[in-house]
Amino acid sequence: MSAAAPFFRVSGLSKMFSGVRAIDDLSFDLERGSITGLIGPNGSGKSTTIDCLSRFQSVDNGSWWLEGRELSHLPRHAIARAGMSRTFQAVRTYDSLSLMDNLGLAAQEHEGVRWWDALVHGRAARSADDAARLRTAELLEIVGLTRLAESPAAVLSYGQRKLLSIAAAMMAAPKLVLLDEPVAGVNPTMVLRIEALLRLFRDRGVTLLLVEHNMGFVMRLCQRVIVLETGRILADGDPSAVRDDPRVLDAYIGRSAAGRAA
Amino acid sequence: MNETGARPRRLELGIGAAAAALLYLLPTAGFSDYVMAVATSACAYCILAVGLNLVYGYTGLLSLGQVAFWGLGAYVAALAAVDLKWSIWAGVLVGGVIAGISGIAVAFSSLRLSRHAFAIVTLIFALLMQLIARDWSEVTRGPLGIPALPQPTLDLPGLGRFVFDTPARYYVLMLTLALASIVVVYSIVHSRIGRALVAIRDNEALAESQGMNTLHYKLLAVGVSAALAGLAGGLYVFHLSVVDPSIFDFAYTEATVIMVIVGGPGCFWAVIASSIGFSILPEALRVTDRVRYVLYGAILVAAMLVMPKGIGGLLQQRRIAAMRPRPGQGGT
Repeated sequence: MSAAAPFFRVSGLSKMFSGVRAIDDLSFDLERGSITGLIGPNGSGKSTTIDCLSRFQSVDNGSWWLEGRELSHLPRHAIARAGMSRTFQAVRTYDSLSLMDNLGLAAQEHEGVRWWDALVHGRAARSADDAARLRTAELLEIVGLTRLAESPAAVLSYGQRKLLSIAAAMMAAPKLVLLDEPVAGVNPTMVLRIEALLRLFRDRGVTLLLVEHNMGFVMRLCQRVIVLETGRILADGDPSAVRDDPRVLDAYIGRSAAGRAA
Repeated sequence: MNETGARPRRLELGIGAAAAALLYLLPTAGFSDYVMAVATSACAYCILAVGLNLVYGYTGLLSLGQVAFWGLGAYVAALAAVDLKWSIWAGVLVGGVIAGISGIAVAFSSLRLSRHAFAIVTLIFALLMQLIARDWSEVTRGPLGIPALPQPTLDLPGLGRFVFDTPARYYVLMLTLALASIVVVYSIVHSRIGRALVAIRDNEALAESQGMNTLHYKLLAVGVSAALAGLAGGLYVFHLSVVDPSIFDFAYTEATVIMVIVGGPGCFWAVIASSIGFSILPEALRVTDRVRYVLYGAILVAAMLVMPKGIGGLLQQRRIAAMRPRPGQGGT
């Protein structure tokens, strides 16, 4: 990658499942501080793309770079440490741990505290804990869960768990966050809260790539939308252009229906 | 964290220190050698249970091979004392270190596959160790084992030589190791490392996505747990005064797993209480003669029916239920 490398670049990403091509030579760049939506019909390869980029799926081919640093050969944890975090389609939290611990853990591996210091709760650990506590308190305030800070995550509702998982993804001040269906299964009020939350993080300089089926949410939030079909890019542009693209309508609702709509 | 939540840790440690002081006074209460031998065995089980709780309760890795590390520590300490003429203390220490390294090796080879592989490989390792102890007669003396092990002695400057030659004295020794093990595991589970172990148990994929090298943490937990088992086996074997392949008896594993499950995996104090209770229970039931194992089984079944997540799990569930927001208190 040259010195003028894009903030994030994916090149030639491919993945097959038992002979079925889930992602087919996928390439795209992301701009720093942008929100990009990755949409497409079921089975188009959206979540697989996120899983591959975060190494939760092996890849057959392809490379990707964050700020010029190649991540494609790194293991999962090293990718996260390099500044790329993610959330999951099925919301994941540490249910037996408090909300404070859930968020504290998300930053723990990025603080550089050595194991011995961690064990004896030495100066570096105490200092890291203090910093994490401040950030945790701030994030809990932002997501409106301060009241439950000491409660285990198991007591949260589904929507609250979604908020917690997004806050956790932001805890270690990542450069890029991959969000897999951040508003799936949550009520309309919570959708608006999550939307405001993601805007806030974008305004703080975090770049977001999100997979989502809620088109209203995607169209309101994203500056750019990439449409996938059978693992390839079908359309790529600003939301209004993509929404009016007949190929996209065709992919979503079928050729004949698109024709009737026209 | 986990079991303790925001409970003041000082109170917890204060109660622990008071209980430890009382336990040290036990030999002065005039109990028989038999009672002190049972108490010594309870200390050994406590070390095994605390170690297994670290691996299984906190990290979510079911180790069925604790007895392998316990037996390995016992054989290494015995061979070091008898064949190499080392001091017993050095032998026990080396036994613990070798057990810890073996634990890491077993875990490293199996955890790269899956948690299930770990459970199976640890079980196979325990069986393999028993076979080696039985069949490698040139070193282990085969099925007859190594008899007449020496008694540990301690030279205290100004106080003379102290020989651990009675069950009461041996109890003090095992109690000291048990308390040291408790302190080590308590420090781990209440540190950032312990929080990471619980995270791995609760959701390993999430932990990895947050930058955690989960294999390193799992190896640490298994290594510490195996080392503790090795130290306990190494020290306990001089109380038995003989080591033979029965030191790898699966009954030790079975008893330890029962202690952790009934105590509540991941519940620190409840597992310690359970280990003491289940060490005493079979002896207390001796009055019932032949039906004692039936009663033991019945108590186990009843415990699992009433408290499927163990004693600690039951208390934890109640605490979580009390924290759950009631309707009308918010919740989205």
